[in-house]
Amino acid sequence: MSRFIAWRLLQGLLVLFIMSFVIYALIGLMPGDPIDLMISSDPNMTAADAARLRSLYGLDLPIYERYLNWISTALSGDLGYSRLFGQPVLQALFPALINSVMLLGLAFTISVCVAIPLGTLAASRPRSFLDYSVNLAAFAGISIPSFWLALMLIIIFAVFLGWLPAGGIAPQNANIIETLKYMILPATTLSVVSIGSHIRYVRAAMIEVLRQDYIRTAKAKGAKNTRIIWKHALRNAMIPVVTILALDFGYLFSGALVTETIYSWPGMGKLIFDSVMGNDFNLALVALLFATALTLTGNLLADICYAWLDPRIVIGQEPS
Amino acid sequence: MTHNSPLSLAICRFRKHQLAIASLFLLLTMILMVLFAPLFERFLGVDANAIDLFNRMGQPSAAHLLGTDELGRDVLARLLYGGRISLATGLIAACIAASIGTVVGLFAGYFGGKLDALLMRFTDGVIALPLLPLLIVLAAIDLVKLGVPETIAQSENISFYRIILIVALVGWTTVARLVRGATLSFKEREFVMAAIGVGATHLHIMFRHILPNLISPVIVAVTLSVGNVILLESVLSFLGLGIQPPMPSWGNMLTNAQELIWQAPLLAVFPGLMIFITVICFNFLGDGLQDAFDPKAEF
Amino acid sequence: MNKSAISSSPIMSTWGLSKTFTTKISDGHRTLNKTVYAVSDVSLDVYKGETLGLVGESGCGKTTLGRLMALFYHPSQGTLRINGQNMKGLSHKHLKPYRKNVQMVFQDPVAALNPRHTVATILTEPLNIFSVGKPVQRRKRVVELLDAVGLSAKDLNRYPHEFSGGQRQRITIARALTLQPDFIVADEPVSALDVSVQSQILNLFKDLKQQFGLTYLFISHDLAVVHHLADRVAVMYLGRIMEIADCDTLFREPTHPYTRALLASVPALKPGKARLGKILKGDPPSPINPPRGCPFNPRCEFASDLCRTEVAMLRPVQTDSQHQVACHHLESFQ
Ligand SMILES: Nc1ncnc2c1ncn2[C@@H]1O[C@H](COP(=O)(O)OP(=O)(O)O)[C@@H](O)[C@H]1O
Ligand SMILES: [Mg+2]
Repeated sequence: MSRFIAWRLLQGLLVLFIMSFVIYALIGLMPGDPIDLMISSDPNMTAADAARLRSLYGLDLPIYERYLNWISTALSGDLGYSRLFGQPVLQALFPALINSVMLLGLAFTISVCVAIPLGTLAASRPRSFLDYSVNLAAFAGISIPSFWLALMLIIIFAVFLGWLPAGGIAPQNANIIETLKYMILPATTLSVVSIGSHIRYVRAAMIEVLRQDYIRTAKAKGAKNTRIIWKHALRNAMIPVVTILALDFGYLFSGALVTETIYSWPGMGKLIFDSVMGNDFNLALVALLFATALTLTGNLLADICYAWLDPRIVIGQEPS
Repeated sequence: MTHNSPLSLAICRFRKHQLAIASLFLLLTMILMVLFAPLFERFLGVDANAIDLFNRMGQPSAAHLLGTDELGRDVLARLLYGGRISLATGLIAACIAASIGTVVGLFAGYFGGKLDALLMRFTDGVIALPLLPLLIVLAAIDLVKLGVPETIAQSENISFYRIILIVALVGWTTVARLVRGATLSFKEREFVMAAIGVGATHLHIMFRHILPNLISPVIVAVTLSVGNVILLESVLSFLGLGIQPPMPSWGNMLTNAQELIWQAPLLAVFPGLMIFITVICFNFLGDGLQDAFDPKAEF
Repeated sequence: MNKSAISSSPIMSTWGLSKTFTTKISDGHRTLNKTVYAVSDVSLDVYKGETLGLVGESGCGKTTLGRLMALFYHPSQGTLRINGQNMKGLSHKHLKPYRKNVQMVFQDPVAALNPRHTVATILTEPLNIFSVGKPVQRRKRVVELLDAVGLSAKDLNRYPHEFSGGQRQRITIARALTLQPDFIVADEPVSALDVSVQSQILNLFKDLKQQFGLTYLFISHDLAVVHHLADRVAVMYLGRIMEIADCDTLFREPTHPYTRALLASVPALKPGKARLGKILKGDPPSPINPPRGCPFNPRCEFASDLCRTEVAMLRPVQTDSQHQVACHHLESFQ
C-alpha cells in the first residue's frame, strides 16, 4: 500500500512540475506583462526605459531560464507579491482558501445528504415512477448551467423576494445566521450542479451491488427488504461513491470559479479569475498551481480510497 | 443498411425511449430554426443587429416576442443567431475532441506496451487538471504573443475558432479511454487475426476493422459531450472569454444581463433557458442512444 | 486418398520450432509473470498436396502450432520455412508476400468475421490489399468463390450475423481461398458447428482440395474426423509431437502409449491389433510447469527413470520408416 501511495505521489508531483512550467508559459502569453502595466501607468517612461526594466527583471531571457529563475526563488519560499491585494501571495491566498472550504463544505454536505438517499431509493425500485423522477431530476442537475441557475436564484430570492443578499460575504464579526444568509444561494447553486452526477453514481453503484449474489442470498434467507438495502448494500455501494466524492472534491475548488465570481464570494475560484483577468501574474500562477495540486490530491485520494476499500484491487502493481 | 443490421435493431430499441425521441425532434427543430434564422427575422419583421436606443430593455410585445435587450435589439432574433454559434461550437468541438480521443485510444490500445503507458499517463494527467481555470487562461492568452499574425488574431471570428480549439484540446480524454478499452478487447478477436492473415497493415486494421465496431459507444460519448461543450462555451462566453460580441452566443447574452439584473431580470431568463433545454436534450439523447446500442447497461 | 498427388517437397517445414507466452497468474495476493510452453521443439514437414492431421487434447498447443505455421506468431525458437524460404526475423511488412501462400480457417466463424463488414467487404479485402486485378475482376472472383463454397452472389451484401454457423464457416473458407494459397491451416473448423452441418463442411474441404490442389494442416481433437480426412497424422501432447505416421498406420498400429490411450477413448475406431492402452485419467500437466523428461511420463504406465529425466526424440519405428515415435521404450512395444 505505501509503495502504491508513494508511486502515485511521485506521479502527481511530476504532473505538478510539468504543469508549473505549462502554466508559467501560458501566463507569459497573456496580454500585457508587468512592464506594459508600468508603461501604461507612467506616461513619462520611454521605450528605452522599458527595455532597461525588461532586462532588469529578466523578462528578455528565454522562457525556460525565466522559469528556472522563478521556480528556484519559489522553492526558496519567496512566491512574490500580489499586485491586486498589495500583499505577499500566500497572505492573499490563505483567506480565500478558508472561504472556499467553508462554502464548498456546505455545498458538498447538502449534495451528499440529498444524493445518497435519493440514489438509493431509486436503485431499490428500478424502473418505478420514483426511479424515473429521480433520474429526471438528476439529468436536470447535470444539464443546468451553474451561472444561469445563480442568476435565477438571485432574481428570485434577492430581486423579487428580497430575502437573501445577492452576493458578497458576511463581515468577520457577523453571527452565524447572518453568515449563513450569505452562503445559502451560492451553496445551493453548487450543490444543485453536483447533486445530479452524485445521484447517478449512487444509483448505479447500488444497482450493481444489489445484483450481486450475497444480497440475493440475504433476501432468500428472509431478511427484510429495507434492512438489506440500507445495511449490506449501502456499505458496499460506498466504495465507488467514496471514490467519486474524493475525486469531485478536488474539482470543486476550481469548479466553483463561476459561482464564486457571480456571488462575489471571495474564495479560490474568484481569486483565480480575478488574478488572471487583473494581470496579477504572481498570484495567478500560484493560485493555479495550488488548484492543480488540490485536484491532483483529490485524484490521489480517490485512488487510495478505491484501493483501500476494494480488496479485489491488487496494489503495488502499477509501476509495471 | 439492410433490414436487420445491428443498426436497425438499435433503432428499434431507441424508438422505445420517448424522452430521447422528443429530445431528438426538439434538437432537430432547433437546428433548423437557427439555420434559417434570417428567414425568421424577415418573417417576424425584426433584425438581430438593429440597435434601437429608444426601445431598450423592452417587455415582450407583438413586435418583439421576447422583448429587447440593453441596446434595443430583438431578443428572439439574437437567440436564434446565438444558437447558431452555441450549437455549432458544441457539435464541432465535440467531434474534433472525439476524433483526437479516438486516434489516441486506438493507438494506445492497439499497440499497447510503452506507447500505451505513455499515452494513458498523459491522459490521466490531463484528466487530473483543474479544467475551468485552465480554460480561462487558455482563453485569455494573447494570440499575437503566440506568433499568430495580427490580421488573424484580430479577425472577427477568431473567438469562435479559439473556443472550439481549446475545448477540443481538453475534451478528448473520455473518448480516448473508452476507445482504448474497447480496442484492447477487439484486437484479440479472431477477425483481426484474419485481417493480418490477408496482409492488412496496422493502420488498416485499426481504422477499417476496429473503429467500425466502436462507432456506437463513440457516438454516445460525443452526444453526451456536446452538452458539456455547450456548457463550457457558455460559461467562458459569460465570463467574457469565449465568443466575443457583437457575435451573439447564448453565453455572452447573459454577460450584460447580470449587470442589469435589477432593472431587467427577464433578460437573464431566455438565453440560459435555451442552454438548459439544449444541454438536457443532448443528455437525454445520449442516454437513449446508449440504451439502444447497449441494452444491458443500466445508465 | 490419392497419394500419388503428394509431392516429396515440403511446402512447409519447421525445425525445432518453439513458442512460449508470458502470462499473468494470480495466487490470491500477488500476480506473477509465468512462462507458458505452448509449443516445444517441433520439427515437421508438410508435403505439397497432402492433408496432415494434427490431433491432441485441448490445450496441447495445436492452435499455437497452426498459428505459427500461418505466420501469426513469431517463433520463440527454431525455424520455419515456406517452400524452402526461411521466415526468420521477417517483420510484419516483409511477411506480407508469403501470406498469399498460407491461409488459415479459424475455429469460431463468429469471431473470425468482422460483424460490421458485409460478405462483399470481407471477401474483396484480401484482393484490395494485394491489388489483385481491377475492381470488376475482383468482384467476379468473389462471386466465383462464393459459388465454390456453396453460397451465391445474393449473399454479397449481407452481414455475418444473417448467416447460420455453417454458412459463416463457408465465408471464412472463401476468404482463405481468395489469394489462391497453396497451404491452408484449418484449426478445428467444424468443432464450433452443429453436428448436422459438420459433415457438409468436411466434404467441402475435400472438394476444395481437389478443385484447387490445396495442402492442409487439419487440426482437430476429433479423431474420427481426422481419420476420415487426413493422409498423415501427427499426435501432439503438451507442446510436442509424440507420434507421426500415415493415417492408416497410426490408426492400425498406434505405438506411443499416449496415442494408444487417445485411441482407446474412441470405441468407434477399432484398430486392427488389440494394442490399446488404458483410457487416460486426469488432466494433462500444465504447460506452465511441464514435467521434466518426457511430457507424458506422469501419466504413463511404462515410465522409467530415463523417461523422467530425458525428453525422447522422434525416431523411426523401423529404419527408413515414415512412422516416427517419441518414446524411449519404443522397441519394447513392437
Ligand atoms: N496468447 C497466449 N497467451 C498465453 N498463453 C497462451 C496464449 N495462447 C495459448 N496459450 C496457452 O498455450 C497452451 C496451448 O494453447 P493452444 O495452442 O490454444 O492449445 P489447443 O489449440 O491445442 O487447445 C494453452 O495452455 C494456452 O493456455
Ligand atoms: Mg485450439
